[in-house]
Amino acid sequence: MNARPASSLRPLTGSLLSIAEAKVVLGGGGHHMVAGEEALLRRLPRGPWIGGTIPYFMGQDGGRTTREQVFVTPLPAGAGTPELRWYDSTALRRVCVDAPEHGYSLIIVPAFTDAHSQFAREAPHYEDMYLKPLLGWVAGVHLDDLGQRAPGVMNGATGEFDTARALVMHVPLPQDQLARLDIVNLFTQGQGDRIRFPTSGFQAHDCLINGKPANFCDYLTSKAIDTRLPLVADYSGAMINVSVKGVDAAERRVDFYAPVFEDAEYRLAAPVQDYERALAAALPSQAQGIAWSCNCVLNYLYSELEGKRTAGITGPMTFGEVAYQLLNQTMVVLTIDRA
Amino acid sequence: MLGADKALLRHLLLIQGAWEIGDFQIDPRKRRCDVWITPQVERGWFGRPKSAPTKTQEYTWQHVNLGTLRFVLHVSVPIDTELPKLLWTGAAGLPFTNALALQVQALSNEGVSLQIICSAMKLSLSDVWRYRFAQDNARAQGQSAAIAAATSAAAKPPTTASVPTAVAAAAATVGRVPDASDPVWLRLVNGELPLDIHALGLKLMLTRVRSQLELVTDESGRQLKLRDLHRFFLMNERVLTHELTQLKAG
Repeated sequence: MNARPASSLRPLTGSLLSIAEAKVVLGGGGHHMVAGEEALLRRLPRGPWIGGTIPYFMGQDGGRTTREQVFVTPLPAGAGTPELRWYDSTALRRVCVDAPEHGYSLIIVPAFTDAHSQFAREAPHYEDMYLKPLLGWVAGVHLDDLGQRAPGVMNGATGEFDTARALVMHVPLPQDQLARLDIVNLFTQGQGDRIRFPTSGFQAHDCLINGKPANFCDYLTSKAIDTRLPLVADYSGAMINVSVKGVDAAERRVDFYAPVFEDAEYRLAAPVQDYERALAAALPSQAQGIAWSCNCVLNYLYSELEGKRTAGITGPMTFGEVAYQLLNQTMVVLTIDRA
Repeated sequence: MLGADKALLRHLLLIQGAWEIGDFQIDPRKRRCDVWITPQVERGWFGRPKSAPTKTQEYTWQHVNLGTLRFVLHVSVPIDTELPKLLWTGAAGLPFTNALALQVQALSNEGVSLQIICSAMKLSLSDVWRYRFAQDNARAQGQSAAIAAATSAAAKPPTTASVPTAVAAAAATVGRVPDASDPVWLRLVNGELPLDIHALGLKLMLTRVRSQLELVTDESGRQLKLRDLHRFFLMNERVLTHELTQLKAG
């Protein structure tokens, strides 16, 4: 049996591995993040790893949906022992306070839970938010299993699997290493109408279009807008997306994958013609230093990334990305700079 | 004896005027004292109320500790009556009385981290966060105003000289970040000092501070937000080289 993967071929941001290969990697020391189906996570050996459910990946050979392999990312560490900690929706408020003064924290939140909802709405106001790098993703399930199986997260050290709480690995780093968190978002604000919402939330009825009251559902329908394009807000130069989950014409309601905020002004995104090529062009020149990444399942689906590569950067394609706060349709990257 | 205890509590809690202590309960094991405060009722012979009781709504707030006892006040306020702005009352939906909120606010204004506030004052992080969250969203500004009204002569902010502030220690060791009192922070927030920002965290932080400042009207609240931004720079100085260069030049 030859279970040992050819390590020279493995991207730093992780690889899709068979269970046998993953057992070898996880048994070889270090700390890891694992993404895959629940049944596969349960077959992995105990160890210092954090796991979450998802069957969509950008693997070393391109985009892939699989229920037979897991995605394993070695996590940069080296100063003290990283700590795995569970957070329910209330305790999440202290996640940044618990984070190491020098290092980063990797969070996995199960989708459709109170923790997910609470994090999405309140994270920008958490104590110490933005002061320390918080990155991660929202665990999901195969779209065929929606409503039948629950997304979950797994503490590799104990084997505990949970479908309600978020799990965080707080990782201290040596002083000569610096965690730098960034996003690669190909969507920019289009030239269209300015959109504001009177209340923050995952749903919208009323809105202001260029300052005039309107119903957002009516607006999208009457303009025949392609709802694969997210709403984009400009946060001092950072483009932050909110993706449309569904349009309920009967209820005249629009649902989102992340909350819209009342203090933000949105525009619909300008279309991206060729995601694969545009992403390669958008990645920073120091892309080779990227240690961890994830991307959105909507980019995977809408941009038809099955079989395509995203500039050599691998990772799970998730139900939501975390770069400090919850994001949609955005690639998140962690770079470790060395002094 | 019970009457004497109530009178003492009334004195300690600075309860005056048309309010009375209906009941109190001390749990020595938890070092907690619950006090029920109700509108004073005019009584006739044998202590019977002269008029029918008015309908009230009960609010519960944590108050400042007295000695080693944690005080929780349950205040019944007549329905359709505005909450009185007193030191031992608070704002609806918020966890603290105005007196306790004043202490939390004073420490926050001095740049003391939430973790240290909770530890030093033995408060739940979740409650302090709720208070700070409400402040950020301007819901606690009514409480700020109430504090100002209620404290003109009464409670003074606690001294922070004994509180070990990590921020102060950090400030002493760095040289590139302008002092918290430097006007550059206000210029940055106001947009008078445009920065080419590389760091994602700063983009998000700056957006949040600007949004919060639109809602904050009192000066201490504004200073608190600017201190948050200053603290962000202190903690992230090494990743903000590009931004700090511009800040110093500005």
